[in-house]
Amino acid sequence: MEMILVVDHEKCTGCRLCEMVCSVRHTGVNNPTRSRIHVIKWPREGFELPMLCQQCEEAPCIAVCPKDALSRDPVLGRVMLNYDLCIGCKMCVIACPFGGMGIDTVIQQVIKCDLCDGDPACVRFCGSGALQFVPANRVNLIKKRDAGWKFSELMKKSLEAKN
Amino acid sequence: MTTGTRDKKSKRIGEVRCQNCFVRFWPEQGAERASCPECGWEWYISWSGKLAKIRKPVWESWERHLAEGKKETKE
Amino acid sequence: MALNRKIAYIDLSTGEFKTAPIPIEMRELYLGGRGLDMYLLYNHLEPSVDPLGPDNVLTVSAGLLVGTLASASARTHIGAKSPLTGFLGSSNMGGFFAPELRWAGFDHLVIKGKADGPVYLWIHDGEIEIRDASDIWGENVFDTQDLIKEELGDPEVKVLCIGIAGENLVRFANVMTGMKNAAGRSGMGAVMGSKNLKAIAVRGTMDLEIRFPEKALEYNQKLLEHIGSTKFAQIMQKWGTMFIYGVTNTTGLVRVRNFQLNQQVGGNIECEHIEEYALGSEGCYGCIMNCRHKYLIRDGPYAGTYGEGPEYTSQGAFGMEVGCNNFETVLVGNHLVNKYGLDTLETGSMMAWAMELYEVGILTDEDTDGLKLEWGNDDAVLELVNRIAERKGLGNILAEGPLRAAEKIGKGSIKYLIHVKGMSNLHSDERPTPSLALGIATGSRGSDHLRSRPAIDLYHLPEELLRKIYGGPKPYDGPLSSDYTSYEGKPRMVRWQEMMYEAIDCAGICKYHTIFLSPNLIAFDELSKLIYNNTGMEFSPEEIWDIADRAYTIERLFNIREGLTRADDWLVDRYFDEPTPIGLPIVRDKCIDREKFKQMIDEYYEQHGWDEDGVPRPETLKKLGLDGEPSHRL
Repeated sequence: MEMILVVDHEKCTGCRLCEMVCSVRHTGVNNPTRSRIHVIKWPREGFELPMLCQQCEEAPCIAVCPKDALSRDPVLGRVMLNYDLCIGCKMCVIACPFGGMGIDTVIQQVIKCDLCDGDPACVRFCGSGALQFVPANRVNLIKKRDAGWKFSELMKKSLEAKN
Repeated sequence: MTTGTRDKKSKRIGEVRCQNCFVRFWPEQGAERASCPECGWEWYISWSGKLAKIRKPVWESWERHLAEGKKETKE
Repeated sequence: MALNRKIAYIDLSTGEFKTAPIPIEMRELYLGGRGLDMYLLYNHLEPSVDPLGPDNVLTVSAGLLVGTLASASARTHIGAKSPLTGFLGSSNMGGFFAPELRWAGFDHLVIKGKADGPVYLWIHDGEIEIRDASDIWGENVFDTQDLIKEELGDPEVKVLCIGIAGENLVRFANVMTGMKNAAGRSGMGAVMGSKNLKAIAVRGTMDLEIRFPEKALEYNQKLLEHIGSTKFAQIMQKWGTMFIYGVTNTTGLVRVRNFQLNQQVGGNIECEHIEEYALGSEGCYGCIMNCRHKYLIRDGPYAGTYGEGPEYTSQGAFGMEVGCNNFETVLVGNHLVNKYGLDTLETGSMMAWAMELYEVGILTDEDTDGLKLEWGNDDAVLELVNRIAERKGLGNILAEGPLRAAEKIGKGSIKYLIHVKGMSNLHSDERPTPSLALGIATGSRGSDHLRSRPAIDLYHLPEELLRKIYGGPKPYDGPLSSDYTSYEGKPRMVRWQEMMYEAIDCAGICKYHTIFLSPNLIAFDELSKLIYNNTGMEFSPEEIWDIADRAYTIERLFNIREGLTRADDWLVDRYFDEPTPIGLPIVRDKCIDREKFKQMIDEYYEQHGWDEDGVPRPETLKKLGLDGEPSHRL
């Protein structure tokens, strides 16, 4: 079953725990510049949004890679980077519309989210439930249920007002 | 299990503690007010999902409770 | 390693700086954060300097575990001699500054001297620059941070700064980062202002190594799951510290109208009102507690105001203390103090005191320039905040802090002050709770609830549980009592909390993750594991206690050097002479008993190994390795 990592920005508290555990899980050190996920913030408006690789179906990074180092892994639903083939040209970094491809300046390699091979650390640690790892074909049902609940609360209120 | 799915774990979630006599009790889910089964003091309850918390005293019955409470105090 | 961070000594007078590593032996003695800051202050400050003069020393630090896989390890500690009390100044804040400081390669900044004109420090990946801040001087806390980020061209820069209150040397000005994180107590913002230091900006991209990453990840996840499962955490996530008002006002443990009452009957500023304004919640670095709200005022004269918080103290400062009962006033007041960079607690207490003076006629319309300082006059309260920050009229007097203001106003105004060591008390009423009263009377930075408050004493916990918590890590078999109105065993609770908070502050972990408001959270045992997993340093819980004891004792030595005596560890007369008028039966007609309180202090000193004057005995100093201090090893 293909799983996807979904972000609910309304639940994000901007704590950056996801960045911390991503960095430690992949590098053994805490250095947010080496993390695959970043919480982007607008402090004056109180808006936070975790940004990471969207694991695109028609991925621009795959399309531009001159060495076919990037490929789609249909089992885990991710875009995989084969470091044996990668020449570090950074075309993928330029092509990605989301900043999903990063550069780790310590090891001089391109980095991206690998979904921790099916058990993303960021999801495990996220305290507010802003990051979730769910079956791809259930994403919209989960969203519908959340939105439906809000709608039902409003309906209840309007009924109460009527009575 | 993630750090975000712990709601069901704690047994104390729907419970409140009477601030007058320290007895724990379970208000009816969603109830706006509840009385302590032990001492009878009445409290406003607030809810966040199943999480219950005493919001404030029912100020309207405050003086009555105080008068009764005085009688019961042994000291 | 997380241990290879440096100290930077910066002299603003000469513009010179040097950096030095922190020897592991010093880590073993003080860990870092508040502990090492205390060592640095005791060693680098000359006795009796003017706190607002160039000779004061300002320390800024990140705790030992900041940025590691220890829950809520985001605390910045700031220390100096306090311009408010003349004793130790020490304050602590969350946010995102401390981890960024570590990524930039530093754990401690020791800032001396005074710059010729306004400057800010720019610290990035091991480099330090002193930059001109003339254009930023006069800007509020929020704009200052934006302008610096813009100037440096990087929105990820983290800024710690003062607002106009700090520039104007308001003696209780705070240091802020982000929209609301504040090192509020003891006037650290005024010290920065006196040095012409507007801000410190940091940005780092250096690795912070975790000693055992897998073990640390696994342990932290378990710990966070446990913390998240507690009812306390869930209440904090939903309501923040404002939930405390619900508990304390319901019982009758809040300070209303500057100590006239201990309950706001009909109080209508409880945390639930935030729902009308909240946009969501916000957390500090690496914390799942997200205890502060993001709020937006949509209507009325303050429409469009965005802020974060408020906390319990703002409910006090703009609610019950000044007789207001309007949640929006709390939100606006909170926004104002954050914008100006004022300590909300001290501001609220000063205003409440002024209002009582106005009520009894010591202050008149002439003194207030026509401001009607009547209880519950929301507009006057908010205007007074402006005047304090800008030092206008009466605000200029109040900005001097409790004791100096009382001296200026005279006419017996001092007997209306609610303070310890010249620092105002939290807006809670400790008359029915001897343990809490002992905590504020003895706190090393003046009246304070975050130095030693055994808040779980209020929960009426069974004695076995109290024994489990307070019985270790150093053995204690004396009395303990579940009754919060009792004097039995309370010195132990205060002493234990003191050690625990000190250890946690050295580590840089937030107190809300520890045994402060919940008995189920972390203390010495967990801290020992966290330190080992993240740094590889091995300390038993007993050894951590000793480290905390050492740091706390050096704080005591600092205060004694500045002239503190036993008489300073005492409450104002109103605690002893005016019984609580209202509240639940358990807290009614209560005041502190002088004789019993004196005995508690004796016992508290004894447990510390201090003599009856509160001076550490020579054998205590020897045991803690403090007999040669100041030793100038850093």
